[in-house]
Amino acid sequence: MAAPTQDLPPKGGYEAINFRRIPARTLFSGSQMFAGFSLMTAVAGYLYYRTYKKIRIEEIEMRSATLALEPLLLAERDRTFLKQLRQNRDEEEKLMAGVEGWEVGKHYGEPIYKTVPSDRFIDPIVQEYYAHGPTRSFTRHSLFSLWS
Amino acid sequence: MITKDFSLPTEEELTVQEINISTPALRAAAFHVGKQCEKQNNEFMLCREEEKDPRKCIAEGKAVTACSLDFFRKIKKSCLEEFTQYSNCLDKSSKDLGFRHCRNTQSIYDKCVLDNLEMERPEFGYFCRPKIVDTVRPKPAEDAPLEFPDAPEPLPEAPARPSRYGTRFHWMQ
Repeated sequence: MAAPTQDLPPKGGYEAINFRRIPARTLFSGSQMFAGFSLMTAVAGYLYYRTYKKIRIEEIEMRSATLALEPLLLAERDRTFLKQLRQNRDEEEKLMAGVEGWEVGKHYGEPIYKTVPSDRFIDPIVQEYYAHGPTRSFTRHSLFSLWS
Repeated sequence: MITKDFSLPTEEELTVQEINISTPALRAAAFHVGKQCEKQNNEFMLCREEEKDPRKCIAEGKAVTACSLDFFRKIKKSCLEEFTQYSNCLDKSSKDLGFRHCRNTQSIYDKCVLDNLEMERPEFGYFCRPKIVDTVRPKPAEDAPLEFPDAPEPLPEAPARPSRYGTRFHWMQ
């Protein structure tokens, strides 16, 4: 058997333990950071100013084109809308033909709007407009901004 | 609300030849159509705004559609090639039919319209401005204010006197 060896410290003793704080390396000081931020803001502001005018003109042009076409599309839509109102009325008449006390356009004989003259045009609510059609038409209308 | 007595226009009255043109082509022609049919467009929009009733503005609407159809017929006769190229460019170049990508084709189309139809493209903000419309149609009457014959007497006015503790801010005295 070999001679037993002891676990002794190395020759010359252990090295000293480093318990000092190690702060982070500072790349920029505080005032350098403020200065850099101001410089970047100034450059970005200048570039923004240059493109802002261009973008504004383009937006106005797009809006002009939309407004120029609006009467045309609105007239077409009005005609379709009025045709559909007539079809709705005819459909309701057919549907409620056997119901006692039902007048077309009223709720069991009671008008919907009481304080306005009877020939005043008030837009029907969406559900009433699509009442006789498939549900998907109503869904597409009411969730238009989600579908498009 | 739409009772039997409610007057709706008939199907024959509402059936006219419609414009069968898609959005990119409409947007390509937007400025010129708007300039050409400005009078009819303004009349129709004013009628719609004042009357708040689509039944009363059917004639003006038909005038708008007829005028625009007329313009598109003229384009088809003279500038069809340039027009289709411009609308195709608008369609394919961006997702919202932006004008800024298609300036070259636009200038060719504008020149063609200027030569054949003697029409200049209005400036970019022309249709964003409010317009004053001179019409023959009389302004519709406003609703009379509501009257309440059995409303109670108003309370007597309190006698004026200075406030007991002054005002909140010194400059209000």
